[in-house]
Amino acid sequence: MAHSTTATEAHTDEHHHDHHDDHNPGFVQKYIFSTDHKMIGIQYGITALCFMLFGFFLMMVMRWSIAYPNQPMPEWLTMFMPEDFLNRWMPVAESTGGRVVDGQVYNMFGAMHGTIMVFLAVVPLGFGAFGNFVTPLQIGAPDMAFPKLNMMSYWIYFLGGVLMFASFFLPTGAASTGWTFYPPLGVLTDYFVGSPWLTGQTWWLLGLVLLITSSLLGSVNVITTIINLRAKGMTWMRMPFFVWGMLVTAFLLLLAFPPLEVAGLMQLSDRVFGSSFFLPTGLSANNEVVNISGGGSPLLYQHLFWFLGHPEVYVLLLPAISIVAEIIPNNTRKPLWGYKSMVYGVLVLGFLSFIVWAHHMYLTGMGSAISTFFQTTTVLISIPSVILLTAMLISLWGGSIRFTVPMLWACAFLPMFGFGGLTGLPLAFNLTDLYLHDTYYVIGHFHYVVAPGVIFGLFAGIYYWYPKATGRQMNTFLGHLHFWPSLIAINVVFMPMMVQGIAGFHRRWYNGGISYEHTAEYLWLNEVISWAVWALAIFQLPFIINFFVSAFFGKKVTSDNPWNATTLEWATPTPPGHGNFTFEPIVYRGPYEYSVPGADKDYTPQWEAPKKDTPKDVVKPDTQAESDEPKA
Amino acid sequence: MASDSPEAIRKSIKLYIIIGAGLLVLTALTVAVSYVHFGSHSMNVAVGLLIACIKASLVGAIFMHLNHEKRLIYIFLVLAGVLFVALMGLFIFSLLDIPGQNLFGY
Amino acid sequence: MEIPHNVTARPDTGLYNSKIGIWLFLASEVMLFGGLFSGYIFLRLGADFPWPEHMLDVTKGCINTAILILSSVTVVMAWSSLKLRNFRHFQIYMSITLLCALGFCVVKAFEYKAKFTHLSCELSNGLVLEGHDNDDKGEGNDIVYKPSRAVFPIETGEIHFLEAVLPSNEKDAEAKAVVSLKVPVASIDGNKIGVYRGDDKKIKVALGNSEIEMIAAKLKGGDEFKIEDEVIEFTDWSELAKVIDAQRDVKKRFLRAENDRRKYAGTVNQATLAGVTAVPKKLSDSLETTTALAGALQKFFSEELTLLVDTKGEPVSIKPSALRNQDFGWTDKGATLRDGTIIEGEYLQKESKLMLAVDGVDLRRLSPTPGEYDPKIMKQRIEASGFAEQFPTIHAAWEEQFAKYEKKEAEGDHVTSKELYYAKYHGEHGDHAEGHDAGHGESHAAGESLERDFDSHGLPIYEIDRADVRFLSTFTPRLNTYYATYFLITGLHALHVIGGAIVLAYFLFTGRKMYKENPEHLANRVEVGGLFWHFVDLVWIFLFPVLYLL
Repeated sequence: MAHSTTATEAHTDEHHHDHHDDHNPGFVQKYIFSTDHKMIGIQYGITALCFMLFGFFLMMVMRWSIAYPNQPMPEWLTMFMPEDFLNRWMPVAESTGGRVVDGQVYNMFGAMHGTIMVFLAVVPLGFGAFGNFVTPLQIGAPDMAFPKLNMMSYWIYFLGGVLMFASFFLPTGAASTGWTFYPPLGVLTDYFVGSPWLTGQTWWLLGLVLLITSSLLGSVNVITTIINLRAKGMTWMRMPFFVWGMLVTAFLLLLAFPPLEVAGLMQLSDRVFGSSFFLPTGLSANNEVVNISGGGSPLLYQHLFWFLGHPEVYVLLLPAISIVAEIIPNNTRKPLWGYKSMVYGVLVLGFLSFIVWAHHMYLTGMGSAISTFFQTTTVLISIPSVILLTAMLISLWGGSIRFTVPMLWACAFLPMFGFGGLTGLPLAFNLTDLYLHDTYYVIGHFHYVVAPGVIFGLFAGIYYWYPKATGRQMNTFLGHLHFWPSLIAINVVFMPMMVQGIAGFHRRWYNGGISYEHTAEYLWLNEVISWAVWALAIFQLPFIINFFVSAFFGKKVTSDNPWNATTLEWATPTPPGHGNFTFEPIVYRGPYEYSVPGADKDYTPQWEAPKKDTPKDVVKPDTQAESDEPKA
Repeated sequence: MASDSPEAIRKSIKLYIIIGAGLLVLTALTVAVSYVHFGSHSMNVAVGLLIACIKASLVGAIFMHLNHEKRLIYIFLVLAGVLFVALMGLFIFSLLDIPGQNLFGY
Repeated sequence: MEIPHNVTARPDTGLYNSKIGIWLFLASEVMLFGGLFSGYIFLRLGADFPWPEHMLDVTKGCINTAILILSSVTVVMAWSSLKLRNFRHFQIYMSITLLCALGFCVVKAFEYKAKFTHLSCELSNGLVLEGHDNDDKGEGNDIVYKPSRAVFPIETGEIHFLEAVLPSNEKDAEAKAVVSLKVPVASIDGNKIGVYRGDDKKIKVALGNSEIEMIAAKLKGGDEFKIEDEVIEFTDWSELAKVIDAQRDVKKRFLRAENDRRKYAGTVNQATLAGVTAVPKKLSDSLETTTALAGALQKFFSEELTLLVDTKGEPVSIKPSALRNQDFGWTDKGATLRDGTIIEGEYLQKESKLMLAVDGVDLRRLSPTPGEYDPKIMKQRIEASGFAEQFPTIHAAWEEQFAKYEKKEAEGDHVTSKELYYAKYHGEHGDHAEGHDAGHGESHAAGESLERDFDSHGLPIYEIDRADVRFLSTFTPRLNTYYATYFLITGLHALHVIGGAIVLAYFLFTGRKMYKENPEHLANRVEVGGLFWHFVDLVWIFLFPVLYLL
């Protein structure tokens, strides 16, 4: 069937309405405008990894400027940037004979690093890639509920990403007002130009609206799929924890993003239609009162932004934590400890995340009553987080742990995320937050959650499901070469930031000057951090090589269930074909039946029918499927 | 699903028209009461929004069949409703809590 | 492969896929409009200006409410018809729904259009007049100059605003405007460096990296080079834009050279202070070179470009929105545009005068504190503002209204500040001509009537000096946060109406085939489309009172 001629393809297309079960799509339909959830998941994954690399690179340039203020960038940094771009933004200075990062470039890279990492890399990787690829498989569905919407969701995301990326090459450059885009700065930057439509600031907002639309479509799809497309016997409490995580993430995206869309549209209106949603009366720029009516409120933006912003943290986190929750029982060969409390924990976590947002705004002069409210809810939300973390730590206890590569990442996730979470507590309290606000302490805290936390979890997921997606294993040696140096480097990156932050190093300082004197004793740490960052970059090379080379030359998996796992995605052929399952999956038990006493092997998959009185030969799922004729 | 049977639908067609007419009457009422003063401006807002809520619930319950919908849909809507109230409530709360702020001044 | 539960409901949830999908989407929409309404309330509670109430066209709003309610009924009837397997009725009801959608958009378009042409003019004494521009030239609210020079800030590097102000020259016709620019041009070994007009009449820009390197090399070699000023005339604005781009690059180069010079000078100084007698040769060499380069580049670079503008006596007009600031952004010698360009010239007071056919006045901005309108003090303020003398007809109309509501208040009725201090004037038809025959004085002293004429609706036309205008805007998002919210929410709502109508139209025009194959599938689709449609109606049910009535 794979060798059908173009003539027959055209023929099939003409009779598309006949609902061919075994249709044979062309290249474009199969790989580009695919409606298959697995292909869309892979598209999401690769696009997001590319953006992640790009966001990482922006930060490498920024780290140069912080560690070596006013010194020309080395060749190994500039070689990745196009000549025209360099000449425009970082031209060769006569004195140093090299290219120096100035404030404008630093701001641009800083804003885009945050934006790309949050909106274009981590969320699409966690929710877009894993959510799309794994969720339908784990619940035994043939595809997502709305395959065409799924395709649209990816392409709208892609368009938003392209818009953000292309804005680097506009005359004004990309957005430069931080990933939070606070007004009035966000509105008034590049405001006095001929065409406000052709500025990076405006393209950022347009890109954001597209990304929100994309995640709206994605979340509707995921929730509907989980609710309506579960296989026979897949009751709520038999769903793998990953599916629960996706369900809650999708709800967060669904309900938290619209207020940000409102904020984005209002800011867009301020920029291009001259309104004053976020611009107060009497606002002046360049020592002149701006030609606007005023009467708006910058605080409104912050409220709308952080109403998304905090749930967004959990949108980043939950996919990672749910991936880890899949990998741990598989590699400890024992059930997930406290599955039910984790499920309830994640539901409570999802709900609470909506009402903690103003802890990002303590410095705005809010009253004591509202501040107390938000402090209370913020501290409350640590309870479900701790439930999740503790349950997984206890899951390790007494297990006969297989330290496979995904398990290494999962194990590293736990303390790293824990550390990130605990360092958040001082920021939850108004009193300490006022001191730590906008210092490197904050940077260190949330990067501990997102980088060694979330991204380690996502790496775990890539190594774990790679054999299912490609039919080949990733190389273990390269996996180790990726993991151990990354673990060390990333701690050397973020641990000193805590120290610097407490000393008062401000998150927006970029190139020395008089402000550096303030924390002179801790400046040497800047170089340590920067070199650790670049080392971290180098040790991603094994992963990149592993990722692409293994797809073609990796060791072929011999079984459809190489990890001896229990959940449904391992019941499909490898890689799964269109429609996923070759038999009708029926779920007989909970998701983590490992080492069940009395069972003949140490895992009992969800789809395996309970044994009758006279046990027959153990039938492998795939052979069983082949014996059944596919339904017409 | 009894409510989707042809007889039930035939019956409800009449209801749709009655509700439609009722909504038009309520619209006229909203306009009318907006010119009447109820003691304070907040009162007027409350009355106006109350009528709007009645209209909205009629549309929701009858036209959108929320009077006999599945449990799941109620869960979605209650969740969205609660979060909407949290959003608006906390916005107002945060405005009221700024010391020295004079709201509702005019 | 068939997705399960696309048409039939799943037994345990009782729902088919797209119904779950649409309700989730609507939940998200609740948050979207919830965010918009919350933003509205936040802005309204925190507003530092009298919040406009009852300012929109209630009749149009009412008509639209009725239209949407009707369409809601018909869309549910269309669904019922499908359930009863009556395709003909479905077509009829769905067509009515679509006509309603069209009607809604038409009414909305008229409502928007009225706003776009209606002006609000805040005078510097706090009076806010509303009305229409009554200038025959059609661009009556522009500020007009006879230009002589334009000073262009190089940083912006775009000539968009300047271009919008200057008349556009047509090719092969006589130029309506000529701009000339004085720039330095160096000649080295017969090569020209700088911006100049070549022998072929084309503009040459020779200020790139290679030329600057050549300058640097010549300076190192101790060579002199001759610099002369050259005046270039432009009639093609794209050529001008090219030159400005080149000048901006030079500025960057100069600033860097200058920074370098300072850095080296600093290092040399420090070395000297520290007692190092022999400053390293390389350092002093570098200092010399960069100093020379900075000096040479300075000749090519000026802080801003001064353009001599010759429009052959034709005035240029500047839109209020293009000004950097309406109140302070211009004087009788020139105006600053939004990007910082300064147009200098003779201010043409007569042409710039605003001829406003006034149909309303708001006196509440006379009070410095919104919400505090003590009648006694307000009366004093109104008297002091010269309202009565300058705008007699409008004042008379307001006074009549004020007296009526003051009496009402005295009787114990509740009266709003809007009723007391905001007056609409609908014009007198018929015999106004002899009644208010106003003088046509060329100039006026303060306190003199500004009334000049009446327009066809009987509205008085006032001649307002631009120097008295603090903020002028049409009733667009620019005017204040209320109108910004109004346009944003109703605009988004209108987009929902259009989107919903497209989907419903798709069902109507392509539904027959699906109806024949699987009528239940079509009924489901229409139900889902209808749910969205009802939601749009439901949002309007809140929008109407919140924006129009309360």
